[in-house]
Amino acid sequence: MRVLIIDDSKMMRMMHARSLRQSGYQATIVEAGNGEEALGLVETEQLDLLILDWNMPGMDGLTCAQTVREREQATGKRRVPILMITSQSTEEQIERARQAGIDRLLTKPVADQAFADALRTLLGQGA
Amino acid sequence: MNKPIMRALRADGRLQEMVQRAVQDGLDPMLGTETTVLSEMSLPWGQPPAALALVPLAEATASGFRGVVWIGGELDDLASVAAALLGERPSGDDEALQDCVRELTNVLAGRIQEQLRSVGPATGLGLPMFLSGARTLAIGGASTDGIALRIQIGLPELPEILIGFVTGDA
Repeated sequence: MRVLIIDDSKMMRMMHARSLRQSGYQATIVEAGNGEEALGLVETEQLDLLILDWNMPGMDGLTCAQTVREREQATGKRRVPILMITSQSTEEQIERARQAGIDRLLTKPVADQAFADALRTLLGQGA
Repeated sequence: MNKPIMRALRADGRLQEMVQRAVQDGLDPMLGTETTVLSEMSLPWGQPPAALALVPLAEATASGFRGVVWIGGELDDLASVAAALLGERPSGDDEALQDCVRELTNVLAGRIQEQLRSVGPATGLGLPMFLSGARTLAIGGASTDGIALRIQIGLPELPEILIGFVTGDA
């Protein structure tokens, strides 16, 4: 399994990778520090999951997710599950994320169980 | 618009409750420990902490609510907090320490944003920034209103840090 973690914080990328391992997933981690960088990797990598932040310098997570979905539609590529992990958590923001093509939004700090449940839902299988 | 909201929240004690709850919901689980509020203090802009991270919080409209959530302290205390997240102690104010403090402030701001929404303003979060070595600070204009708390983190070194939420002139 290949997972792209998109976050401008190196510490958060490290924590998400650790949470993946703790949830029992043997994943190859690919990292990006912002949306532009991520879009390049989405083009070239065969990915099973995107984990992304909302607020990042340059292209933010919402724009990145929207662009990924538009490209999937335009090219007929397989729809990759997108998990957003962000500090933003009001109802309006959750709705904006859903409209941008985010499959699941978790609010920081994320409990281990919530992370594991989200992975199971998105990947459709146990660890 | 800022001041009436902040004054109302402060007048009935909700402002301190809001910030304390944001600490409990945001920082405590992230650090895997509990925090204790030691004291409320005046805004420290005349003599800022050695280092601090700031996250702007603003409504989309030009005349809307604007505020800043911040976490600061001595580098040694901030390094103790960062060590709980990184698994090793960063040195000085290196990038790893800055990253940790920015991210903690971001989480704190998110929890304050959520509570603020329940009393009115629908705000968005700006990108966190880190400052160190400032002799004075002007946050959100010359006049600010808000709250600053000194808190102790329940880590082995019992680090003490400052947290706050302020608004500038609207």
